[in-house]
Amino acid sequence: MPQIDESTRVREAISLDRPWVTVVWDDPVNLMSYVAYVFRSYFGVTAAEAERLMLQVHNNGRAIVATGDRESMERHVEAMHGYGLWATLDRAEE
Amino acid sequence: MMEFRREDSGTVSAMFEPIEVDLLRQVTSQLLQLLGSIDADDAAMLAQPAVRRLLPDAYPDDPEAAAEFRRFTADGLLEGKLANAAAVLGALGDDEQKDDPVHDPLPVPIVLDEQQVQSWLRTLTDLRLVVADRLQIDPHGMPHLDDEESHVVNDIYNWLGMVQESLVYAIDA
Repeated sequence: MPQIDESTRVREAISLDRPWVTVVWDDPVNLMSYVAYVFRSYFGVTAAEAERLMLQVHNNGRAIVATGDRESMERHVEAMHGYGLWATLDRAEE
Repeated sequence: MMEFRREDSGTVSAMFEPIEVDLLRQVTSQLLQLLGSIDADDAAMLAQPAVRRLLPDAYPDDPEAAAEFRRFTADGLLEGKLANAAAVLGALGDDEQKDDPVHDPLPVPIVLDEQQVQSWLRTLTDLRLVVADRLQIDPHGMPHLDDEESHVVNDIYNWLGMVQESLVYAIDA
């Protein structure tokens, strides 16, 4: 059985309640119009919100497009990969 | 190619030059081959940048979690990408344009229903991701490939982007 040191255990206990996020990263390939379209059609957000998220990806290099439990975020990331977007999971910031 | 337009029936359509149909058929066939050759358990294959971009790490800082995620998702994602590429080929028709020395070949109508549009959008993306890797596109979008083919490859890359943008605008309208 693998040994887990105490600090890891404590850290995990603390972070149990912290939600996960779906992050979409800027890439030089995907068209801005397509990225906005994906946000709107997959997440069901308004055109204005999709545009805002797309510009955040474009200008800041990344945007958090969803927050929730790990399983749901994995589903979103998988869907984004299906669309060809570069998406990852992360813990929400404290 | 003429811009895609949405028809009253809900389909979107565009006229493609026969040479464009042949081009799209050719690159999509190559994509199918590439996708069909990917073994998501093969570490060496996953080290290839193009493959890595088609199946990105879901956990960039946690290789173990990334491998686990890939184990559960890669086969399904690849299946989807293969089916999309096959759907693109299907919409293009099977026949190569016959050479006609007398007449210029006529433009070909491409008509897509809602599901085909989704396959096209995703396949055009996958094609561009793979071609971008070949062109050595940097994070700012500048190509760095410099060989005798680079102009042709760059033209194909831009053309694929134009087709995709036209399709997005048509269904957005």
